[in-house]
Amino acid sequence: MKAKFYKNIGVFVVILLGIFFAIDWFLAEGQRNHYHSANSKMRWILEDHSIDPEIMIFGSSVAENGLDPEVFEKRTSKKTYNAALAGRRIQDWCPLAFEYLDYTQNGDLIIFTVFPNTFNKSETIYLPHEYYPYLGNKHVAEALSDISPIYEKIAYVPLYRLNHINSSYIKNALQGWQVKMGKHQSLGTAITGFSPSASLEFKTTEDAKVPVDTSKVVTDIYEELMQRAKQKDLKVVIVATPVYYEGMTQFDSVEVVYNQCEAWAKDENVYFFNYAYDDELVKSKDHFANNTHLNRDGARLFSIKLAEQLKALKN
Amino acid sequence: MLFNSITYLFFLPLVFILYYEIPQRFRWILLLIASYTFYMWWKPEYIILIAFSTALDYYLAKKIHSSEEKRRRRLFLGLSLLGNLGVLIGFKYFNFITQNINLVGMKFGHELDLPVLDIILPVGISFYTFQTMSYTIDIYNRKIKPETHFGRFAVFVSFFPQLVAGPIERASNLLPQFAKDIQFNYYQILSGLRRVLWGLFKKVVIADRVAVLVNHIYNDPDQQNGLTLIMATYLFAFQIYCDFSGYSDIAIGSARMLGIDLMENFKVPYLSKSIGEFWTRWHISLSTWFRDYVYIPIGGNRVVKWRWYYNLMFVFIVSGFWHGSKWTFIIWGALHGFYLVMERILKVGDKKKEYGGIGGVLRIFIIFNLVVFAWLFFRANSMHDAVFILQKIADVSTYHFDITLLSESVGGIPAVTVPKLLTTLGLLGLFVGLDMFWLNRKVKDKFLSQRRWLKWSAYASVIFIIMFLGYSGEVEFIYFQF
Repeated sequence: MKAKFYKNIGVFVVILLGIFFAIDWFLAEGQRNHYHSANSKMRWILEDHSIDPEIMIFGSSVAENGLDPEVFEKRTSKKTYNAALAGRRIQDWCPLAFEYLDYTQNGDLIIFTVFPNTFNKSETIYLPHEYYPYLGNKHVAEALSDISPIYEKIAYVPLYRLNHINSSYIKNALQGWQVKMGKHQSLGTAITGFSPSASLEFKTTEDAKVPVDTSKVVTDIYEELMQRAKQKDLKVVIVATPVYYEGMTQFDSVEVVYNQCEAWAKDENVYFFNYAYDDELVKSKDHFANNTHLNRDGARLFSIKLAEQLKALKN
Repeated sequence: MLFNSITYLFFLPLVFILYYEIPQRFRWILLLIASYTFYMWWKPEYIILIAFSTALDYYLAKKIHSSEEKRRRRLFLGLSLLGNLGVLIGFKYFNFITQNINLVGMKFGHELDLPVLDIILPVGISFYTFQTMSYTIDIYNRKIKPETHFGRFAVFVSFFPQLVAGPIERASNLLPQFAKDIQFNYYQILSGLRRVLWGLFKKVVIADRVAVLVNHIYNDPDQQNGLTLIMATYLFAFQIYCDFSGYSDIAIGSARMLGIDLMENFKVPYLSKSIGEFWTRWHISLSTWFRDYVYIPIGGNRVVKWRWYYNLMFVFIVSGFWHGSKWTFIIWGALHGFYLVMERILKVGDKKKEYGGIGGVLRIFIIFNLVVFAWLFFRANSMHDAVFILQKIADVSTYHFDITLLSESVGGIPAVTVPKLLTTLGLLGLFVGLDMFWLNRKVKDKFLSQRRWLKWSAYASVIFIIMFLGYSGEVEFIYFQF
């Protein structure tokens, strides 16, 4: 009786696990091949290690649509890539930066962008499934685990991510398989990593107050990245992105963020360029898509100004 | 440890395998270690309360049994009740009592400032204290003899499948089973596994998905209108049923895998044709506990009418209070007491009478709605919220449906979208269908007599649904807070 039971249950579990692992692999492989810009960046950096410029930019959407690598390349003559990821905070974009710092051979300068509530701690991840194909990467697993226990389980318990899939993941996977089979090929904005705002028009956002915090968890990640970059002999540049001056009133006690960056500049031997109050940029609505995000024109001006500062650094 | 956690997924098979590998005389040790581990996974220090309750009742039960003099027997029983109720009141009701005394004091211009303790309610305290109290009361009433094996008694108090949310077992049913030499029974174990699976489906696929909607609406009723509040109240009826009966299914199934039979706790309660019948189908282990240890001792229905009605009201108010130290639970209990009294006065709840056809359906409909109305108080975060929700529901002019009322942002993604809502409602429909389907003995037997591959495919389908459509995350069972 006992042997029969264990045999039947064993066969059932093996078949079931086989099916689950097959589905899991199918979805992750599809997601890995999806052509959306963020997916390409993740794969190229986390797996292929094929992005190794001299200037590397990390951050969230304010960096992704505010800094144009082509402008940097023209002005500094250095190969540049924008690895910033929209919708993400340092807690979940840091795996890319750590991975890059592990493998880079050509790196000369690394840029970390900050914005008013950049040091707020986050307990959720925007589109977590984009990380599912890379859970085997130690930086990804560690970063996700630090965000919440749920992501920790996703990172370390096999198949657990299947309980956390959504329709976007399935859709991406199917589209990814089309790419894999050569039916769809579009790298889009992933080539330079720069993803400018589609519209030039300023979009008013809610004027609700946004709390500004300095979480040690977050500042520790910045500090660790700075240390790792310096160990690799990379210059570290922290850039506060421009914020439309009227929109800045949305953020409470924003100075703590910029003061922290200034303190790093002083103590950690890194550079800090603060564009949050740059009058030429922040006083005109024509440069913004909304309070915190530059439009195409603003991005061009911002990139030129920053590139010139970097050029000066070089010399 | 939660039944719906990965830890339990490994814990139960491990206990199961060891259980059938060791001789019967050592099994109590395994069950005790397993049960204490299960409990300590949550908050290790609170195991002391279980150990205290175990030692106290083991000792006092022996004393009660060996004493011939009624006064001494009463004294030992009193000590047992005092010990158990003392722990229960100290941890569960102390703050409620002092807060209310302070409020009354303030009304009369006195600043009493009685202390409010910063303590966490020990999970399952209401369940295991009631279980041990029933043991000493049964010994006092000479219904059972005291257990002589301390280890087995400790397992009776802490048996992990039913430790934190019941069913509240009787010593006469559970204790002898720990002494039996239980053999490996293929069909019983499979039946246990099926039950666990069904319970998980109810909890993870129905209750936890529905909870997203209900919590969103009930936690911010100000942003809602009468229509969405009504919807949430009906959905809560299914949430709590699936949550609690799901827990009971997993408990019964887990125990059955170990060859131990626990009592049934639910029998499709929403098909009841009277409130009296509802309470023979809903949380049966608690309602029979109150019947045997409160209602009957205070006279039951063998008293004058007004006293009978008083007894009913009293038992249900106490039952409401058992659920938690909040006025909303007391009102919920009182409402059920009132329904029952009205049934008795109007003589509309005759259990012996068969209500078939349209009349029967109409009765089910009315009883279901009365129960749902009471759930409103049970779910509301406070009395203020309950009254506010009732006022909103009464204001028909505000009724409209807008999906944005139901969506909340989690990591930039709305928690409730139209496809998610439709999936949840679809799964709820599937559950109701399956629940009714399973009621029919013929259908059940027919399924069980199908070919093996067909049955196992059905089990695999349920596992697939749990895996892919079950709510992500490990959400506590509602009855853990009681």
